[in-house]
Amino acid sequence: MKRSVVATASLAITVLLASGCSETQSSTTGESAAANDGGTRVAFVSQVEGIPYFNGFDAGAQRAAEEFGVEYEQAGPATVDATEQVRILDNLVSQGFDAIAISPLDPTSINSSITRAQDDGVQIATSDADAPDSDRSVFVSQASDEQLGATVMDQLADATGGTGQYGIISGSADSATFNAWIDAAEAQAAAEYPDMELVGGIRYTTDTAQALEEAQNLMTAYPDLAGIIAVPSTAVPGVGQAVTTADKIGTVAVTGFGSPQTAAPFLESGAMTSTVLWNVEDLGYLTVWALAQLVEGNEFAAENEVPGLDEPVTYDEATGILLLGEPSVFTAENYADYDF
Amino acid sequence: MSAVTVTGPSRSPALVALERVQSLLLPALLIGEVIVFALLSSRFLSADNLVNVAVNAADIALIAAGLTVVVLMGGIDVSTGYAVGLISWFLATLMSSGTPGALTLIVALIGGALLGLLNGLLTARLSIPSIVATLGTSALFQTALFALWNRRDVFSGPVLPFLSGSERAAGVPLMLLVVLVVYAALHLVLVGTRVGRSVFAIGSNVEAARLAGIDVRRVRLLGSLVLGLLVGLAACTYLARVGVVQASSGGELSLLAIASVVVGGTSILGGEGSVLRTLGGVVFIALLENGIVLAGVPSLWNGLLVGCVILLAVGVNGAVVLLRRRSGVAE
Repeated sequence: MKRSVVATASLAITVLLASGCSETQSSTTGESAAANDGGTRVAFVSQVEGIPYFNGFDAGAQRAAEEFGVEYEQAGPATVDATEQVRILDNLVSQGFDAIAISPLDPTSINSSITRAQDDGVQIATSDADAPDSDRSVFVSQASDEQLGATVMDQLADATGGTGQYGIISGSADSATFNAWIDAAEAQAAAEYPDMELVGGIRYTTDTAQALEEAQNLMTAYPDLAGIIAVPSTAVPGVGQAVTTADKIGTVAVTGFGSPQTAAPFLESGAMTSTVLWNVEDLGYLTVWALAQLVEGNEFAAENEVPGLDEPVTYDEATGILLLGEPSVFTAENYADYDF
Repeated sequence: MSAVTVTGPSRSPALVALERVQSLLLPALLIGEVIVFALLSSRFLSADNLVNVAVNAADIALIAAGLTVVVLMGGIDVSTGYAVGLISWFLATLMSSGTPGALTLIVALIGGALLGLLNGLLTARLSIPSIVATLGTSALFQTALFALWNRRDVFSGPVLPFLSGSERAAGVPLMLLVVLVVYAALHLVLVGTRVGRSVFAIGSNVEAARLAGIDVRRVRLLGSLVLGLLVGLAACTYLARVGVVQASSGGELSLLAIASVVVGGTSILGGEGSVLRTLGGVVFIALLENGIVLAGVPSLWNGLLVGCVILLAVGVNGAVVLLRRRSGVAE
């Protein structure tokens, strides 16, 4: 049918366009790598440079670099481009960095580069996103899916007094991350809040406008609705807007997984009670600490005191995951402190 | 609804019957839909719900109106969704820097006209098939939106109060009146003016239209311009109801607008149809999306039903064309 022709052709054109753009230069921040004064040099390859999220990562990482006396450089593709990311990693390896962390866009195509780097004696960690089948030394994880899901449910139950109907508006049905968060949230509800009832099933959406419509429809179908969880960052402003225009601020509680800046207008107006994510600056900080440990050959303990972080950091030896800790909850009081 | 009134002894009873099915399909579907959903949910027919549905469907309605003109000439446009997203980004950026609403509305219309003319020039001047040309521009618009957005959501209030759902006269959103005025105006132009008749003539038979002295390129370009202007207006209503622009903004609208036109019964081959039928198609799809949630049915049923209705409408349409050709009736 026409639609599949449309889909195939648009895919082909997108691929053509994307490959046309792959000549984009990468941007780097921090000191030039040429200056090697014999100190420890670590680097991080982001998914894309110049965006608030990875700027936040850089800020935390620079703070840690000063604290632990290492030199830090952050680089990444100018556009989201997995091939370019591999090239940047290979470059950093040949520039003689002691340890490099990467947030892989594609967890498989990066594997051979990671293996080669480890063979050359460069310690490679993953951070922010993992490549579980690679030879990475450690994965610095922001927060576990279980904790994120449970925390968002706690936030919702807190706002609704632990009772009432609630809806879940998710993103695409095949997103493993979203599904893991939702499973964890539902498990938390089953265990802790027997009076909370999920209504309308899980609504899958592709963009803000659809999330807005689904939220409106849920509020119409269930006039007693007490709360909504907005899962993807596209749904957060859509649900916030729907509750605002329906004049249900204070009646329908909204929480979700939006960055503080995406949720900002709704936290300010009260349309959202909170948003749950992790503190990306702390993630950058922890990543540099972990890289420094790798270079010095220190083993991670099951529980690690990291100077500069409030909470101890746990390490799971079986999976090789270093966990930043509990998710962060952003509210009207504290969202302005975060620039991502 | 055909431009040329078809009469003659060669019309077979089967063709007559099928043509009746074609013209009654949409009204029958609409009535059936309303009855079923009203029975399944007591809130379906409430004023609040219907206003919500109408406000949410405004941007699709505006796009589909312009798209009908293009489809009537045998063309198509798959770039409208990301055109809305791209224009919305500029509007939101302008609004958040304090630009007056009236000026922003003018920017929206000019922006829409430019994007429409780009599509029109590619298809009418360079003779690139419209499906391919607009696929190309759609990818460009999407990429431009992604680059401009740069992971920074842009929030904005309505461009002008009457373009949002909140300003109402006797409970009816003014935005809805804007949509109805657009449809009425387009309908009158299409059925009552020379340029309107040219649109149908081009869709029925380009060569014959050319021989009859119609400037095909100019009328095609005019069609793309009208669609572009309506896309610009749709960007305003989209922004007013969603309030934020992200990388995926608008993308859904392209196919929904095409589906509305086809479900309405306008022939995808051109030459036959009307904007009023498209309005019916918009209402059908908008009520379906809403009613399915209210009835507590999983949302995958939405896609199933829309898909079946599209195939049904196209199927009936194709059968009519086939029968006509077989019995030698002029289209």
